[in-house]
Order: sequence, then C-alpha cells, then structure tokens
Amino acid sequence: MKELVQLAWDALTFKHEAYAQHVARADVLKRGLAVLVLASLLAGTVSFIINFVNGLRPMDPVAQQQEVEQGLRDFVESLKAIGPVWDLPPNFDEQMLKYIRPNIEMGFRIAELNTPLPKRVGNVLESIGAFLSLPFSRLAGWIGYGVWVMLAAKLLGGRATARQMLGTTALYAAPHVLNVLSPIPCLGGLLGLVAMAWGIAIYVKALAVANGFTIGRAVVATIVPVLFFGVLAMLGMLGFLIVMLMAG
Amino acid sequence: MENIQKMPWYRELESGPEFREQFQQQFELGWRIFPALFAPNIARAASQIVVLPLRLAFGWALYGLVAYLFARLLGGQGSLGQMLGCTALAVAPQVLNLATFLPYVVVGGAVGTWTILCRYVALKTCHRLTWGRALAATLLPYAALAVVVSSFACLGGVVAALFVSGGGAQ
Repeated sequence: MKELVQLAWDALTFKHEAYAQHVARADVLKRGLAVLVLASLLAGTVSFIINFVNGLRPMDPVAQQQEVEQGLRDFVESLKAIGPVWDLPPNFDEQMLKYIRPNIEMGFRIAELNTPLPKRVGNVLESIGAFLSLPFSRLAGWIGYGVWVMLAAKLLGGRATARQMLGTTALYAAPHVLNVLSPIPCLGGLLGLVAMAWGIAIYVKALAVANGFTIGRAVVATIVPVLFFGVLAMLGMLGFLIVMLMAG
Repeated sequence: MENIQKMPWYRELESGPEFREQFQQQFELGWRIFPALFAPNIARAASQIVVLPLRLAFGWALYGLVAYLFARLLGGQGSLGQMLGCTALAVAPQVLNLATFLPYVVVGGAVGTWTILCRYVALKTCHRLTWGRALAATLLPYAALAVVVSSFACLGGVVAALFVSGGGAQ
C-alpha cells in the first residue's frame, strides 16, 4: 500500500524516473489498476457517507416534493436565459411545467408503493452499489478511450505494449482523489476541474514515457481520438440536417 | 392511470373516438407484459448459471474460428488449437461481472472493451502478427458479424414488407 501511495505521489509530481521505472516493471498493469481503483474509491468516500446517512434518515415526501418542484422551477428559470437564442415560444416555461408536473407526481406515487423490504434497506444498498460502481465506471472510460489513444500512438510510431500503455496511463486517476470534496458547493466543482486538468497532464506524461515520445507527440496522440469523434459527430449532425431539410 | 389522464397530451387526445378504450386496453396489456419481463425472477436468474457459460463458449468458438480465418489470410502462423487456446483467455474479463452479484453495482462497458483488447493480444502473440495486422484480424470478425446481422435485418425487412403488401392487396 505504501508503495502504491508513493507511486501515486510521484505520478502527481511528474517525477520522470518514477514513470520510467513503473513502465519497466512486469506488474505495470496490476499497479496501475490498483492506483485507479483506490483513487476512484477514495474520491467517492464522502459522497458515499452522505448518501448512506441520507438513506437511513426517514423521508418526508412533502418536503421532497417541494424540493423537486423548486429544482424544476429553477431549471425552467435558467432556460429563460437561452430562450431568445433558441427561439423558444414566450410561454414555454408554463408549457414545460404543465408537461413535467404530472410525471413528477407519478414518480412520487410510485415511490409510495409498498416494497417487500423496508425502503431504507433499498436506499442503503443503492448507496453501497453506487460507491462500488465508481471504479468500474472509471475503468470503462479509461480503457474505452485508451484503446483509441493506443491506436493513435502506434500510428505515430509508439513502441509501448498494450500492458505498458494501460499500466502507465492508469496513473491519470491519482489527482481525481480531489473529487472527495465534490459535495462542497462551488469548491467541489472547481477541484473537479483541477483534477481533470491534472489528470490529462499525467496521461500525456505517461504516454510520452511509455512510448518514448516527445510531449508534443504525446499530446497529439491524446487528442486525436477526441478530434476524430468530434468531426464524426459533426458530420453525423450535418448529414441529419441535410436529410431533415430534404424531407421538408 | 389517473396521473396519465392528467397529462396535457392525454387530454388533447381523449376527445378522439375510441381513444380512451384503446389506451386503457394497451395500458393494461403493458402492465401484464412488462412486470413479468423485468421483475426479479428466481427461475430466470438460476437459468443463467447454465445459459451464461454456454453463451460464452459459443461466442468464444465462433469468434475463434472467424478470427483464425482472418489471421491466416493476414499471414498468421498459429494453429487453430493454439488460437482457440489463446482466445479462451480473453474471456477472463467476464470475471468482473461477478461484482454485479451485489445489488445496484454496475460494471458498464469495461468488460467488452477489455475482452477486445485481450483478443488483440491473443491474436498478436499466437500468430506472431505485426500490430496492424493483429488489429485487423481482431476487428474484422466484428465487422463481418455486423455485415451478416444487417443483411439479415434487411432481408427480414423485405420479407415483412412483402407480407404486408401481399396482405394489403388481398
């Protein structure tokens, strides 16, 4: 454990030797995965405790309904700002509330139905499940994007194996420990952005060390998949628009 | 049902003849079908103990055979036995699905992508292919499957259209 914490710290401080030693190890992927899983679990700890305690507290349906209603009103209010840009009709807020309210009422009626186990048991299990799912969701995003980065790196002349690539880039998860403070309003979001930027920087450094790239080439390999899918999405939207225009 | 009846779209449509009756029928039919499909079912869960290994074995054998053909076409040197032996290891990420035994735990897309990656490593190692050829041999079976499925879907669509138009003509 101490060794993993040291590895995460060295990754956070961009120590070149630490990255190089990590890539050269036979258990590079195992260590990378361990950092990723631990960082994800640590990042979700405070949210998990909050959700767990809230799940145990008795629910007040009236207060909950008022909270949801207020949230809905705030959302509709925020849409008013973009109303003129999107050419929304003048009374769209009333229309929206008219359409959404019965759905919310239906949701509360469903939530009131009797369940085989007490509702608190369900709430607690849900918070535990969400907490344990955190490493899997990070794993899915990291491996899904990593495959495309690996392809880009290979096309750019990279010499890392799949094990080395994944093992080193997994270190990007280390700064996401900052997300442990995500429930704090404003600061949580800000720290989330810092963690994301820091994570990207570690990803680029890891990619450069694993493949023997310059930082510039590693940046290109990292952003090529984003650009590729961005262009693909834009072409798709353009095609959709053309079809819509042709259909009249 | 009474909440649905309060919705603006329902109020607009209920003035139409027979709408209320038809909607009520479909609503009740939906409640008879969907809870049976999605509610927890011990027999269905138990059947997965047999169905899941069979599905994985079938997927492994089918993928192994098709990938073997592509790998050989791309200059691979491994035998079918070696190939099936290597790709069998690519089923290992399925172990992650054990976590879903715990309620509300979601594994997501990690298993599928990891399996593809393991298959790539298996093909590259077994057939001693370059990374580009190994990648092509890994992905071509998926492309072939997509072509076969879309062809059958198109064929099914044509047959259904012929039936409908034939029924309409009578």
